Amino acid sequence: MDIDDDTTVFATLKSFKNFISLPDASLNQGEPAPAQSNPLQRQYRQRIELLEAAEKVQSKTQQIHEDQEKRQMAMSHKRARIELEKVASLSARDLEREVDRNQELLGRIRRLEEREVESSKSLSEQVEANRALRRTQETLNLRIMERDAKLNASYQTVSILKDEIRELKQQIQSKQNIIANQTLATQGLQEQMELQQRKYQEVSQRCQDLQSASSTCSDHELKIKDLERKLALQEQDVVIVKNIKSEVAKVPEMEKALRQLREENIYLRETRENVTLLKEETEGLRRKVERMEKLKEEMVTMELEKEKISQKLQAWENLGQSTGLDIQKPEDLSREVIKIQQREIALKQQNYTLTSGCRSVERSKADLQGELLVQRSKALEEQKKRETQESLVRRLQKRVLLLTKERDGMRSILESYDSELSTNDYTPQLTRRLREAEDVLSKTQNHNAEMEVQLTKAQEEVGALKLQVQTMELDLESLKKQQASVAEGNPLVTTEEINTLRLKIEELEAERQRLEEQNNVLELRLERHDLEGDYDPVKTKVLHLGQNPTSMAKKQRLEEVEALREEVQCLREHLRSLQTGGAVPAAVGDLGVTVNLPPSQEILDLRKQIESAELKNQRLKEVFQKKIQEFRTVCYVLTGYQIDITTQNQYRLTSLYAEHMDDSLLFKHMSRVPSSITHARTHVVSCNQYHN
Amino acid sequence: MTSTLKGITLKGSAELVAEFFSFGINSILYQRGIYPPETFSRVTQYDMSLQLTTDTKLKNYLANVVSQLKEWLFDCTVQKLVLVITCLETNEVLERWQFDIACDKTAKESSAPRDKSIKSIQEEIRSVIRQITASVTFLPLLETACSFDLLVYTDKDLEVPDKWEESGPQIIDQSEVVRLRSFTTSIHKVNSMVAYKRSDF
Repeated sequence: MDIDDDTTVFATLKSFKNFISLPDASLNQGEPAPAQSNPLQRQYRQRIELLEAAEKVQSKTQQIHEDQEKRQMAMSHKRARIELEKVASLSARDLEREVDRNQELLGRIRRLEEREVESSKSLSEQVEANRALRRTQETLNLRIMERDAKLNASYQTVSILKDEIRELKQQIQSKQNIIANQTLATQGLQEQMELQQRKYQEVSQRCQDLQSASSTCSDHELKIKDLERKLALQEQDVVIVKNIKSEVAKVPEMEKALRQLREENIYLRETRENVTLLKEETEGLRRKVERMEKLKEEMVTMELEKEKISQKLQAWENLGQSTGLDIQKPEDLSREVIKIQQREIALKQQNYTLTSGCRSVERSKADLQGELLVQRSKALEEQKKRETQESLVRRLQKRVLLLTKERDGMRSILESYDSELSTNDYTPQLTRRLREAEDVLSKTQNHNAEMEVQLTKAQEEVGALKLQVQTMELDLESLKKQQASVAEGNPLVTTEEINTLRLKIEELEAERQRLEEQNNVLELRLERHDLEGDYDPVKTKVLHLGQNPTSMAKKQRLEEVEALREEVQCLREHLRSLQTGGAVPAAVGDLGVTVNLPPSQEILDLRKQIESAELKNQRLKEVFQKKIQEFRTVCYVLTGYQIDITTQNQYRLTSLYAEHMDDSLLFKHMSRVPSSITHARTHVVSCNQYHN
Repeated sequence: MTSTLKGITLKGSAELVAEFFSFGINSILYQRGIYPPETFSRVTQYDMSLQLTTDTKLKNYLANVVSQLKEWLFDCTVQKLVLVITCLETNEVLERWQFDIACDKTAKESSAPRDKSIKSIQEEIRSVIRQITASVTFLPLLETACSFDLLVYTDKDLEVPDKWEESGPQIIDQSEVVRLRSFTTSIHKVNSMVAYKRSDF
């Protein structure tokens, strides 16, 4: 390219030179004529030529630039081509690789296809084999079913036979048991027989012994009886002798007693006579007393009668004053009495007449009431007849209306049909419709008639019932009136009873209503409770599975809560241990819960920082102390004064050359003016001088 | 066998009712969210798609209860089946699904099948289950973790089988009760109702 550039430069130079020479030639050619004329023109031409040369140079430079650009483009083009070739080569390689891969995959696909074909063949073969197997299986199943059926039948027969065998065995066993029982029974009976025979023998022996013994006993008894008789006789003799002896001993005493008794007898006779005399006297006295008492009573009654009679007398004497009549003698009284009796008789006669009139009136009234009832019933019947007739009339009117309407309707229909008939030709349909309409009409009319018949029947029944009701009401009224009239005869008792009964009825009705309301309320409550799930523990109970989801969920919850609590406790302990500043505690392995909190990095860093800071502080302190000590000693030594701080803002100055060790000057810092301590005015507070 | 015959026997009725309870309890558990919905799988029954649980423990529990229920239905000794939903935190009963069972005991004596078609029974069951699904709209939300229990009300003199024990009725105090539809197989009649705790506003 440089060579090209050089060549272009040289080319341009050459061209330039050529160009320059040309104008000289042209100038030289054109010179002789206008050379004399103007040097300006020459200059002008030279300038123009120069300009043209410059333009040419410019164009050439432009060309050169363009050539350069072209070369650059070519270079870039070449580079691109190279890259493309590289990419192409790469892609070609890739292509080759992919082609190889494709071929491999194609080969694989072919192999897989072959395999697939083989597998499909094998599948089909197997399917066929399966089918064959299924067929064989089905045949086998059928055989098995047949065999099963046979087996079942045989089992059944076997079971039946076994049952029969069992039954027979049971029968045999039972019979054997019976036989055994019977043999046992016979054996027992035989043994009993033997026992009884032995017993019989023993008993017979005993009997014989007993008989012998009894014979001896009887002999002995005879002897005993003889002896007893003798004994008894002897005893009797002894007793007789004793009695006689005792009697003999009692004789004098008896004589004494005899004498006493005779004396007493005499005395008693005397007393008896006295007693009789006294009794007679007492009887006489008693009779007297009784007579006296009777007399007294008669006296008392007589006095009472006397008083009564005296009162009567006084009343009779005062009669005249009390009655207000001129009665001075009993004759007047009798006259008055006769008058009163006459009046009474008159009044009674009036009474009788009045009662008879009353009865006649009542009879007439009853007759009239009967007539009234009859008349009312007649009136009701007539009313009903009128009503029925009116209803009939209305019905008939309605029917008439309906019929007229129907007729009008039919007429209109017919007219419409007639009008239609003239234009259209639908006669058969119309006739059909007509017939249907007529059928419907007839049906409805029949229905109407039936309904009307039923209605009339119902109305008649209703009328009859009303009649009955009204007659009953009238009877009731009459009965009530009779009751009232009867009750007037016995007013007090019946009205009271009726009132009490009415009160009772009202109370009972009120109670009944209350109880009904209570019942309803209770039934509602029962239903509500039943809806809510309440039950009668006498009749029902509630069951559920022990292992139900709610109990399992509750257990799980409890376990979770316990685990969380333990974790919380462990964490709290861990926290406490951390807060106390100990090292990281070991894992708490209680109950299998390991709380192994690894110490976090931040905590470790902070601890390290803290330790390092503390160390630094300590070192600084030590260093500061040392330095300050040094400084103070140096100050003291060099200046001869030592300054100590006693308390805040108080300083003590001690001199090295003081007379006494304890001599010092105390200074106080009064900071009234905000300034540094060096400029503050220090007042001498005190000057301590200790003398020995 | 009941699907092929036209009549209903006592045994067939017991099986139908037990089957209804099995599916009904599963749908209640799904609707109320007692167990997460991903543990349920869809199943077709009564010409509608229902949810059945796939949790083995729950399946075993339900199978135990339903099999025992079938026996008791056959003996006509069961009076009610109650599904009680309790909150685990407060141990309070929040909901109570109660199914009253009335058994016609004359079916025990006569073994003649009753004339009622399976289809009509299934339609009635379908309407009950639809109502259970629809009840979600008025029942209060169960926001806390809950668990359920199945209680069976039986005759007092019934022998308690193994693993079963007596329990209380677990009644909700201050409850609202809503009666749902009932269905009958002409031998067993099942009334459904749900009681839920009144939420205080």
